[in-house]
Amino acid sequence: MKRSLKRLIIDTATDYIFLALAFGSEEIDSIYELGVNNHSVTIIPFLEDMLSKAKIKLRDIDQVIVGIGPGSYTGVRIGVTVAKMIGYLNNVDVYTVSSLAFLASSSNSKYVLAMIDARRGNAFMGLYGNCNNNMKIINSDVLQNIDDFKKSLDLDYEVIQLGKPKIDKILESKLLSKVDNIHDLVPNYLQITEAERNLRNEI
Amino acid sequence: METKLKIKSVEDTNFLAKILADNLFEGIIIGLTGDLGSGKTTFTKYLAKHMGITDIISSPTFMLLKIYESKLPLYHIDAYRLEDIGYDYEFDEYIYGRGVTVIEWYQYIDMMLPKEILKISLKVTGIEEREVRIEGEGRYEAIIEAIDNRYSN
Repeated sequence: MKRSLKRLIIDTATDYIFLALAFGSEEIDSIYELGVNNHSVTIIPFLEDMLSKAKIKLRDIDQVIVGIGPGSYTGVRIGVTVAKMIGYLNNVDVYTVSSLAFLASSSNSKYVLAMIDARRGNAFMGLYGNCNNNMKIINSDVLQNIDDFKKSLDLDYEVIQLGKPKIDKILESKLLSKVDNIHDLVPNYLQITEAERNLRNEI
Repeated sequence: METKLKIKSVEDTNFLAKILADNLFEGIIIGLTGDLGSGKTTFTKYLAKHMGITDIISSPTFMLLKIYESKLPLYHIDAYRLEDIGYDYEFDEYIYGRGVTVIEWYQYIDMMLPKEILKISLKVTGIEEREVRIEGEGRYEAIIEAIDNRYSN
């Protein structure tokens, strides 16, 4: 019998920290907990708990799937850092997924507008579709004024701002992209700070 | 809406901070402006005291942000070093959060703040005397009314 991959799934781009363990495409365990500005404190204990419950060690993880944003500027880095660390230590494949795709996966509506507040009237938004149990991206993730973006959409969609990801949908979709060089893994912020912008202008 | 008042000593600063402390709400943002030594950090110290915070409050000029735990957490930001540098989105999680945010030199990050904040400007008029102007709209108007009520009594 083919041994199933032990996959660790991480997303920290929203107020909720999400960790899941899957063997193949089957979810074994998951954690989805509110923790505003707190994910850096909880991620390692949660991970240790989950591994010990499944009676496996960190070095047994064969693959890591991580939400790389867009989303919380502080939060997204925590998950990406942990994914990077495990990918490097275990020398295993790391795949990235949009954090908005994780959010969208919680709904089975035909069209889902996943939305994470970016303040000042803006949000990170991505439009996803569910068709025959197959999740697809309809409109790539943007940072935009909420009203302007909604006006540009000409279809019926459900807005999702909160929801526990459905891992099987993500794992079976084509929304994962493989990281070729673990050192190149960075979050997708969709926005840069003024300091970075100024630095780029100077160069 | 705005109001003006005169402070004659740090005791008056304490009095003003007490009124503010009695009228705090989740997500309140207080922007302070005024020259070096005008009393921005002193005001924050008294505000923290009335919030039940016993830690020593020092100017966050070099840290940018200090967090004090209390019933409502206090986020003490100093934006002075951000002039011509700009905003870091990391602040969003605090400024748009559920605590009490006090921002010294708020004008340097004004464009990133919500339209409605409480603006307090301190002007040095003597060794201990200060002229204080307090402005706010919307949900901040109740605070200005509370200040006016306390000072007219």
